[in-house]
Amino acid sequence: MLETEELQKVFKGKVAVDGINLYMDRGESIGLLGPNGAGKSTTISMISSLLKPTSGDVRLNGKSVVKNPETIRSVLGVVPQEIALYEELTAYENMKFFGRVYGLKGKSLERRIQEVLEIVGLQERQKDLVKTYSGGMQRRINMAAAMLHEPEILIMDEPTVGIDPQSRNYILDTVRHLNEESGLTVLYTSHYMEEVERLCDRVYIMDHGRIIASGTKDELKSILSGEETIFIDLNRSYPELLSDLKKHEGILQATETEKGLKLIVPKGSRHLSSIFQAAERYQAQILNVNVQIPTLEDVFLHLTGRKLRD
Amino acid sequence: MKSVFLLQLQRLRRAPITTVTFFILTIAFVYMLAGGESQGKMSILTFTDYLLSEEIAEEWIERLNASEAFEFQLVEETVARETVSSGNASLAVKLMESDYRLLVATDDPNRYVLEGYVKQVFSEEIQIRELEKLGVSHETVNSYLQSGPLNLDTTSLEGESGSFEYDEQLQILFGMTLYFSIYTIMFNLMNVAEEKRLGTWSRLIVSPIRKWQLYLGHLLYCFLIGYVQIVIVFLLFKYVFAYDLGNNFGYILLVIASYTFAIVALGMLIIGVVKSTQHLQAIIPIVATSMAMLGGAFWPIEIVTNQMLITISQGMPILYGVEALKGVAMYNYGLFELGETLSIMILFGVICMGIGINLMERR
Amino acid sequence: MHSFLKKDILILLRDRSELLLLLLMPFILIAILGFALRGLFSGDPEPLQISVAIVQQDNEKAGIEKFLSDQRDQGFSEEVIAELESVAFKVSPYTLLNQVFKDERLREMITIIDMNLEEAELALSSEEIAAILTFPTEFTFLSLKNMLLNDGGGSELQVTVNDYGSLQAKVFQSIIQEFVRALNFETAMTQALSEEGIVIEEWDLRDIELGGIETVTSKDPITSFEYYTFAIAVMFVLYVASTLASKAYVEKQQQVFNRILLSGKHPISYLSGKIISAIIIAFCQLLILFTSSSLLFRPFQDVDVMFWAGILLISAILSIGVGGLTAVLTALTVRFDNETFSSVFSGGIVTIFAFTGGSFIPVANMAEIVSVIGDWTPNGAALSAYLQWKQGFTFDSILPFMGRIIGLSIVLIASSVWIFPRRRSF
Repeated sequence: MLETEELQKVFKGKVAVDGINLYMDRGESIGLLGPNGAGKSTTISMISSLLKPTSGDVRLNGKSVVKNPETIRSVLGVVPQEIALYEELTAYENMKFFGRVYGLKGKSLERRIQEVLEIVGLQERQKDLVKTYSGGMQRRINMAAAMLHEPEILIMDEPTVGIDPQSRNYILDTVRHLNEESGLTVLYTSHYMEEVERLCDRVYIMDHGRIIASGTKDELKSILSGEETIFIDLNRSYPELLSDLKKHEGILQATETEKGLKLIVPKGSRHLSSIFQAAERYQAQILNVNVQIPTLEDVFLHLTGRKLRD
Repeated sequence: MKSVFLLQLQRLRRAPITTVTFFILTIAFVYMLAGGESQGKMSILTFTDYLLSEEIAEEWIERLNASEAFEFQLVEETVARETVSSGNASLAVKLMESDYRLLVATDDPNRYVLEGYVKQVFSEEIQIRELEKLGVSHETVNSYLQSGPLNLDTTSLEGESGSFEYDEQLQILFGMTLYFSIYTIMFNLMNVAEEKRLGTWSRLIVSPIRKWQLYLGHLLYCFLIGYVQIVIVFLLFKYVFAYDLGNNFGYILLVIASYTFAIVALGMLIIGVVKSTQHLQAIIPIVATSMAMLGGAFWPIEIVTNQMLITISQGMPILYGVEALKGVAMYNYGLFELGETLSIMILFGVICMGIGINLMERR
Repeated sequence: MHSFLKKDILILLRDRSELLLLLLMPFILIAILGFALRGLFSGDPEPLQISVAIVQQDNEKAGIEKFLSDQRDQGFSEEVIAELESVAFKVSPYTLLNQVFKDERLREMITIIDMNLEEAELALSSEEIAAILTFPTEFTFLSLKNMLLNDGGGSELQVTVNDYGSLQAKVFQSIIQEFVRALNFETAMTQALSEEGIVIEEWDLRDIELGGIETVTSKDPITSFEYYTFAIAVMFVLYVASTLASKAYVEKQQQVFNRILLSGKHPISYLSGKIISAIIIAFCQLLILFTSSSLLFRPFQDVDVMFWAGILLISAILSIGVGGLTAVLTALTVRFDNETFSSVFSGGIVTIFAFTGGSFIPVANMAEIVSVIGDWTPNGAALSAYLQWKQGFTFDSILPFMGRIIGLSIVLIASSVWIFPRRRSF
């Protein structure tokens, strides 16, 4: 349905986005993951026809969006990172304005405003000024304004930055619901791994303006399929145990953590018994053992050598 | 476009303080400066030598006040000196038995005219006194004076006769109204910069609305706000305070429209150059004030004789606005005479608008 | 308070463009205005320049000949004719007017070009000349007839101008007006005298020594540069107040203000930080302005150390006044969480203050209330003090102005403390 081809953006000689290829099928929920400054916002600005790419193209159903930005604008809903609303107006007035901008009128506009306000759960407070809203409510109304014209594709640029967990859950549930029930195609940008894991079918991971990995969640995690991480909580620190384990040839990496030890071992290998034996030797008291299933966070760490939120 | 325009009106209704304040300021200020009712004469402080008796001083004042251009007021010497030295008046006249002095602290171009006039009154009076000693009566001289050998006929190039009376009130009304309207227009135009900061601008760009509709909505709103403000002020002064704005209010409306367009365009240029609303807050007053000073909104541009300043003033749209308004109100200019000034303002507007939108889009 | 002060000044120093605007703009304006209006101010070498065209449609010599031959035909004796001839050559208005133009004062001011009518009208419409003076046909003949024989209605001089707004045209017209009036008056006197049988030999536009210029003190009048340096400086220093107040708004928006309150500092110390930084910045601005313009444009010639000491003192007092204004604006901005105050101040109030305070034109001509308000604005009072000090007044005479500014500042600061929100109102 929507695809980009070698999308590139250069700002003052600095390459912000470098050759992005991605695609979305109808009804899919796609995550765009990456740390701050990875080029996510620039990428979606180009997709949503806000920015003109330096080179490359965006195609909607095979037609170039760069040449005819109008083709995408009516089917697209964009939820920007900031609260892009007139805060001295009421929520209802904001809705009415943005609805009109999308060509809605009269009764159908009225009906749609109420529908959308119900979706985001702000029907009760629609007559209040936006500036009197809490941060979470502002985020919700910010999202509502992008859905008035019943877009086929919803692009969300970090829509949950800086809000309380309840509002965040509310937004995530709403998006999931819209995607599953109404078949809305969603492109979701975030640097929160949990959100993307929870919402998206397929994920693109960006860093330094490039896509460094892509695929379904499982596909991505299988990048790490060769390893697993074992956390062992101990009652105190045992430096001798650590140095012994480091020498152990089946253990790829051993580090000390606050609570005990962190070990990375090849998947499927049976090392737990030899680890227990070693612990026995040094009379270390094991409080807890945890074998971790890899997360996207781990994938990112693996690919870039740094954490997402650095 | 219509919805963008209506939205701005709605926003104005929610936060009207700045716009309303400037509207009230304009009226209060023009009213205060122009003194409400028309006087037309320039008043000159006059004081006497301590040797001079009050009656003689009064006689001099009476003779001097036969003028159409000046009004001489007799005040205490200390008052006159204080007013002149503190810069509140540029000069004062000191009367003596049969002579006078001009008291000057800082100079002003009207001095030449005043000096000539006072000198003439004094020298005639003194000569008549001489004649009276010889037995010739004042009346005889006056009767001969009626049929003197020379007349002076002053006309303008178009053949109209007129006078050099400078209408201070109209100058203040036009200059100040146009000056204050710059604030109303530009502070409202800051909505564009504000929208860019808030992100609503981007939101509108990705909507089906065309960019030109977006710009036009904003520009139309600012144009209308500025236009309405100027028109209301003029109507108020024409009908409530009985100012003589000439017989053709239609042309005045036309001049206001061209001027408002030029200022809206200039605003776009400024917003194109200066990004943050913070800086705009600081820059707009300074730009407006400098422009008004150089363009002759605070004093008539005619008192400026320096070629460089005249050249600079010709880059200021406010110059053309004030000139054209004076032309309509005082000299009954028609479309033909207004054509040049109006087209300069519109051209200025088109250029500024072009550059401004270009700069804005470049970012 | 020390830390607040440091913060306020650092913020302003970081924001170069704004600082530059505060300093550069008044400087440019002083330069332009002072330079442009030079010559209108006494003490400056360059007086008003007026170019005019003279269109001569009359022939003076032929006119006098015609006048004399007319008299011959009337049957006057050759003796009388000879006397009339000598008088006519002396009093012919054309000759007299040329003498007026050769007068020392006017010679420097007026440039005369002889042209024919079409040339002159072209030059006038392209504003190369300020006015046309036309001597119509028969001018000499008709005017002499009236002057010497009291016969006929005389003639007329025509002045044509491009528009009535031009100062040059106005001055030129008033010179001609003066001439016409003097000639007519002179003629009337002579005719009145001869009616009484008294004959006066001398025909002369009698130039009685009258008038003269006095300055308020023994010093020279203030030049345009000096006037505008003071006038623009006192106006632009007011923008410091609105600039600092709008910074306070940003701090309020960014929650910095709340953080400061939480730190346990008394809210008033925040306000005093603002006041003191305003005073320092305003003082620096004035100082830089006076120093740079006196270095570049060399006003303030022949002044001594006392002069500069006085200027510094007045500047310091004015800066305190600016501090007072800053206090009220900041208090209002923070209390009502609204930027309107600083925009209205910088957009409207500064102009009103500048106008009433005499920064643009002398206010004596306007309604009484204008100069009353002007005298009580910090800029108006300071301008008067600067001007009087420059004219060589004593310290005592500028004291009341400074007292006013100080009084005003106390009132402003007191009310700002009253307006400023207490912790409880949050």
